[in-house]
Amino acid sequence: MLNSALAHLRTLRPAIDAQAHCDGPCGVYDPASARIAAEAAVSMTKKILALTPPAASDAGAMAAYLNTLSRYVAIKEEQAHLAKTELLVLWTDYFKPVHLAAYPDLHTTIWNATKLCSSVKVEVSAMHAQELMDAMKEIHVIFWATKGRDVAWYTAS
Amino acid sequence: MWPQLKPGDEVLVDPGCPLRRGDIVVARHPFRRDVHIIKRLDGWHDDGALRLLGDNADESSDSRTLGHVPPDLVVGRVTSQLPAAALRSLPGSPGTMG
Repeated sequence: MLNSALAHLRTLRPAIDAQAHCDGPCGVYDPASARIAAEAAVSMTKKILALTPPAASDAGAMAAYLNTLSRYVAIKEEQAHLAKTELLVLWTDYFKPVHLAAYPDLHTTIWNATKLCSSVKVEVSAMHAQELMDAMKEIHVIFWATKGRDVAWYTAS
Repeated sequence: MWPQLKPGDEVLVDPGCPLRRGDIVVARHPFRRDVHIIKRLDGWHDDGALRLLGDNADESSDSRTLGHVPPDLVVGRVTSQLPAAALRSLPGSPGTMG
């Protein structure tokens, strides 16, 4: 009887949605998106460093070389910037004061990681590329620890 | 608002009932007026605005990032909670609730 009355009431006045999370539902944040972008930028850094320019007299080979180099540079710029953006989303939207209390170096860690994104974007530095991946791993570990989950670090390449 | 509230739970709201610290309230989002939010009342700011916090501090977007919520945006106090699992057993229920 009560159930029937309640069912009828819900038909007459359907409930409106109320959000407990206003940026998005649980679980939409994942440092993997930053890691994948960083990996792409690191990969482009390695490819640029591995390129060997052709003889200047070979116009066709030079054109192909410059085309390849330009593409590597463009992708490195784009992906390093995307990695920085993804980190900033985690920083500003996911991480909360309770996380900062548990990881007092969090601001510095993310700031340094975003600085490394800029370095990888601007430079062709194998050293800074590796440091960026190390920073991504550190943020991965912190992120999943705040979720209480044991997610192993891995890379696509 | 986990673990008190879970996705799909429904609540009844009393729009006229006085609020006390610790009440669960429904309010309009301060920057997106078409969105309703459900939070716990942590207290009042000097200007009368409400400090609303989610129970699930790790996940919640609340007054820590949204700021204090003006009292005119409050819809009311939650007086009853209908768990999603119970709603699915009601006559005529489609079986899932949004």
